[in-house]
Amino acid sequence: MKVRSVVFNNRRKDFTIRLGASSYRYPYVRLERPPAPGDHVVSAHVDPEIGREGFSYVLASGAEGTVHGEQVLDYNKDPRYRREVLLYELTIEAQQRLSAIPLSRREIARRMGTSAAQVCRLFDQTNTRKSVDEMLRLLGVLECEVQFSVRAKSA
Amino acid sequence: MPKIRRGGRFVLKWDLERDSVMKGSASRRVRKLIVELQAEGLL
Repeated sequence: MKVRSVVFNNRRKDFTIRLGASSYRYPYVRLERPPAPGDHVVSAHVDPEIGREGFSYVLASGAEGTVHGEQVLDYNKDPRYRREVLLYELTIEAQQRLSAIPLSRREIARRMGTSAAQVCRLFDQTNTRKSVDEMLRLLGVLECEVQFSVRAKSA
Repeated sequence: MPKIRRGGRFVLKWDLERDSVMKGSASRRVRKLIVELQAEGLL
C-alpha cells in the first residue's frame, strides 16, 4: 500500500500517515532511533526509494530513519494486514504439518473434496488470495487443532 | 521482514525468521544475495 502523505507533530510526538484511504498514527517511541529528550523531527517525506510504501524522517541531531507502511499497519493493528499475517502463519504451519505426516497432496485433496491444484494453492505461502476458512479446513484434514484466543489488552 | 525492490518495483518480501518468501518469487540470484547479506550480518 502506498503512503500518500506523512505529517509530523513534535508536540504530540507522532506522525500522521495517510495510507490508501485511511489515516494512521505512529508514535516517535516506536521509531528505530526515537528522538532523545531535546531532539525533535525536522522533516519527514514519503520515500520513493522504497516504492513510496514508507516514509523517511530527519531529526534535528542529523539522525535519519525510515518507517515502512507495514510497521504502521502492524502498530495500528490493521485487520487487512493482520489477516495477511495470519494466512501466512497458518500456511507455514500446514507446510510443517504436511512434512510430518504420511499424507499425499492428492489424498488431502480427496479428503477436502477439492482438486490437487487447489491444495497446492493453499500450501503456497505467497498466495494471499485464499481464505482463512479454507486454511482451517486444510489444517483440520491435517489433523491439527487451531485455537484462537481473545484477551484484554495489557495496559 | 524486508522487501526487495528493483528500480522501485516490488520483487519479493522475505521472512528472515523462517528463511522463506512471503510474497513474490525469489530467483536464484536473489536467494544468493540474501545468503551473502546474512553471512555479512547485514540482515
